Amino acid sequence: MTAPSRHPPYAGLVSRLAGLAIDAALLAVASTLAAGGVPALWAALDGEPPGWLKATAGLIAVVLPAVYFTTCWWMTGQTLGSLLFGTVVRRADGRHVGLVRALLRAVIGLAIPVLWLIGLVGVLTDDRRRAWHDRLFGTVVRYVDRRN
Amino acid sequence: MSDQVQAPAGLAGVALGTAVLVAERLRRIGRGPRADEEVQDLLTSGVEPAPADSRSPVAVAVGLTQQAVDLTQQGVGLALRTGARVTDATREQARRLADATRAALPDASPIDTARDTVAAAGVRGRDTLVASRSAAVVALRATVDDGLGWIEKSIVPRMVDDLMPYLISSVVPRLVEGAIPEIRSKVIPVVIDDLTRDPRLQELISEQSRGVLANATDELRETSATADDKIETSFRRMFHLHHTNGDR
Repeated sequence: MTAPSRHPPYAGLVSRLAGLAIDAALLAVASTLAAGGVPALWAALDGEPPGWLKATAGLIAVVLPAVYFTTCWWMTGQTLGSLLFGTVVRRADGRHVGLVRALLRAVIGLAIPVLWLIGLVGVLTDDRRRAWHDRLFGTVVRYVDRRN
Repeated sequence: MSDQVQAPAGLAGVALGTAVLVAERLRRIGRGPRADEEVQDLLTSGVEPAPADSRSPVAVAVGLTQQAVDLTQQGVGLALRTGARVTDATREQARRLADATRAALPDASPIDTARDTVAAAGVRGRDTLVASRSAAVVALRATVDDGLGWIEKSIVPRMVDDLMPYLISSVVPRLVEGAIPEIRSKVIPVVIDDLTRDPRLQELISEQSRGVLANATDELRETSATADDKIETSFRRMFHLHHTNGDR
């Protein structure tokens, strides 16, 4: 897993933001469907949906982004957006990200999204292109070489 | 074939052989395809057929005819040679000829003599028929070959040259015009159906699709990585930052 020869091995700001945008768009659609689609379907079939269904759907919509990011970073290091742009999240020493580390990285990022985005400025200043949350959780984002 | 008998020379021999071939052909009509194949083989292979029966009426008739012709020719020759002397010596010659004939005649009865004559005529006629047939086969084959060669060299090219503009301008367009709807409605759907069900074609399409997708993804990744470098370079230049490690 190495970067193209004429680029550094660590993913830059554009690739990371583009991947994040793809993930955000997918999650927006999925959360909307989860939150509103199931109750709407219930309403169409059987009238007013029960309260527990609305609560469950809302909970799924809230939890879904955290579950998505945690699972992707833990299992493969890649979300769908990063898969498209060829980036992968790894620990600083190159190992896979563990479950707890992935969960904390996702929860903190989703809880304080503004700080998450501001922290991406660190990508431009750090020699390993680490954002502030990367330094906090000991991770890096690398390019994936499709030839390997 | 008897030694003393040869095929009648020239047109008469060929005509007789042709008649034999026609007779063979007519005899075999209605006897089935096997007989036709035998005739065809005989005509094309040059193999001589089995000799005709020397006791057949045809063979005897041919032999007698040849003997009659020979005798006639001998008589005519003798008449030409003797000429005017016959008138003076007729009586003496007749007497001597009668004596010689009587001396030459065998002691056999007239019936035996007639039988021997007919048998000899039959053998001679049979041989003549066989030889004439062979000569007719050769002559007919040569004639047909010559005719075919002349047609191939002279007639066919001229016909093709004369017909080609007409074929191109009239026949081919009509054929195409008539065939295209049939091809479009019956052939092409079957071909497309076969192609779409062909696993090799499906694999090829899948590979090409994967290749196109992979190329697009590579292009996107290369573009984004280049943008990464440009933005970082611009940012560092703006704030006078420098790289401190050797990763790049």
